Amino acid sequence: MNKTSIQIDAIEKSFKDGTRALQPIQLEIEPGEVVVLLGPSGCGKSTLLRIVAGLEQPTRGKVLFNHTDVTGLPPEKRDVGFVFQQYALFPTMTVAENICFGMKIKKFSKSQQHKKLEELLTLLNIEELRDRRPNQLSGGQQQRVAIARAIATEPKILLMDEPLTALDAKLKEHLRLELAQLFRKLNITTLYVTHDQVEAMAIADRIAVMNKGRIEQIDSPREIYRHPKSPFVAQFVGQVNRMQGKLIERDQHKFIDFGFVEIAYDDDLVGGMEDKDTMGVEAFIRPEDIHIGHDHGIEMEITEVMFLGERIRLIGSCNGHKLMVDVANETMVERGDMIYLYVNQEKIIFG
Amino acid sequence: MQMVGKVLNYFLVVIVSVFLILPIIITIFGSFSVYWGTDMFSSGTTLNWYKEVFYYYGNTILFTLAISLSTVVINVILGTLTAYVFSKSDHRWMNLIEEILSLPMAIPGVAIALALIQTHSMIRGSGLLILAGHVIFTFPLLFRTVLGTLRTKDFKILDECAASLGATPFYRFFHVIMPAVKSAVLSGAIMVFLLSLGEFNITFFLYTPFTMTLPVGLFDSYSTLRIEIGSAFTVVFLLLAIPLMFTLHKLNQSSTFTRNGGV
Repeated sequence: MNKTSIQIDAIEKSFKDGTRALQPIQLEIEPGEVVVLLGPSGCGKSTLLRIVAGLEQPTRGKVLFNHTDVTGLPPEKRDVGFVFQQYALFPTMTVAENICFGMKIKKFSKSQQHKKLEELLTLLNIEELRDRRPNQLSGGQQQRVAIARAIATEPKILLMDEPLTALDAKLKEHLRLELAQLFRKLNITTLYVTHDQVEAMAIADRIAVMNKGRIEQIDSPREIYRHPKSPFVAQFVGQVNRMQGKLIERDQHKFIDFGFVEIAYDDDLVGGMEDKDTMGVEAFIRPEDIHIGHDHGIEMEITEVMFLGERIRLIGSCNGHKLMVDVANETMVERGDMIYLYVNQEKIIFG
Repeated sequence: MQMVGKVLNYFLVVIVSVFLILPIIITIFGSFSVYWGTDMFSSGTTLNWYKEVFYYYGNTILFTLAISLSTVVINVILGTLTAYVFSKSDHRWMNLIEEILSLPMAIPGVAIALALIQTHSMIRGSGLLILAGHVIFTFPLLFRTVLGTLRTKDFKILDECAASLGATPFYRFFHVIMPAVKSAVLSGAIMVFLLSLGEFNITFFLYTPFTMTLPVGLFDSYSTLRIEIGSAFTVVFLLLAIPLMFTLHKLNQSSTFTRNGGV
């Protein structure tokens, strides 16, 4: 399959009522790469996707495929596959007709259509649904058909707008895995929108975290999770404890005091902190990076125990600071217990 | 107590049915009587009145069917296309125009007829003016029905989806939108046909002796000829209208139809 890169060049979008949906956005997607736009609702991720598809026009800026400007082209001339959250199957057509719709328009020969149809029915595991109509399918089946239809014409680019959001949790998890495998197999340049960070991390080569119409950070899932570059990213992706610290000096050594824990000050940890001497330091620690110690450490009284299955989340307070701690699911603790904690200092995230 | 309620229910149904249907039944009987005086069949029964209806008004039947069918064809194309355009737009001005387009339902037919005569008096003789009147009068019905369907179901997404698959706007309209709104268009079309078939108000002011429609002919026969011919004419009219009514009812009830039209 020929591969296409996407360049999003200073795309801006304002709506008629003056609200700014997208600040100037710069984004380059490599051929064959899967990039996920992740963000809360209203952050502009869907708008950006629709602009790439040609379903919406940007106020300013350009969209390029393989460095060719496509900004003025209507969607039908862009050769992109689009998968909608609401499946959008054609109600009067059977599954097979739905899948062949694009191939018919693009004038594939009958034998080509037939071959591709068989291939896709097998690939998405929907052979027995061939002659059904959309209203006879479950949500998961409908979305499989929609995906098959979108990739049937072997488009240059695949765009997906929250394709799994309407499905129930179990099915979502299952399809998420299938999608990740499908992307590897197809090796097609994909832009994928979701507000679900687990989904994003499972399928993305790179994640672009969006907030208020701008991209806050674009990195591999691991980088996004381990080294978020802004407080927003830290708090949106995964769970964090927010810590407010101040710089102190004792015995010629600098420390950051977070109230319940003190860590040695290190230039590498906190870039450009010299100017912040008098100001507070904001940092984050993930619940799984705080561990239970044996007989010493930070004292915490447990106020809430939530059994989450694969782990237990403890909520408690130490020195008046509310803290979330994730521990192994066989840990025997109860509400009201006093426990000792230690913080994995290397894992502290500085915003 | 329950028994009394049941009886009361049936009583109501019977009363209403009798009230509505009895005049029609009497008219049907009247159309077969030789002389409809104080008692209906004192002079015997005949089919002559039907002969006379076809003799005097045979051409109005054909003319009416032509007018009604043309009205349906024009409004199916015009109404569906307009509804498609309106469903895609959410502009403030479009909402206003949408209201204006629905106005003919509220305006008395007389007013529409007079306005038409004033504007296009030259084409009055050809019957085109009657067609224009019918198209204007019935347009909102189809337009509203189709627009309503287009708005309730998410056709915007279907349209966008077809576009992303490479379909041009023209292709999308005929292969995606039209099939999906088929049931709405069909029931709208039948309503338009019925409305046009029975239209009297506008036509009465626009007809010439050569361009008389069925309802106007009916009026003509009742007012100038004998009551028996008028009755026979009514029966002919009912024979045209009733099967369509039933089809319409079936269409609206048939759940498979709405399901297949659903998204």
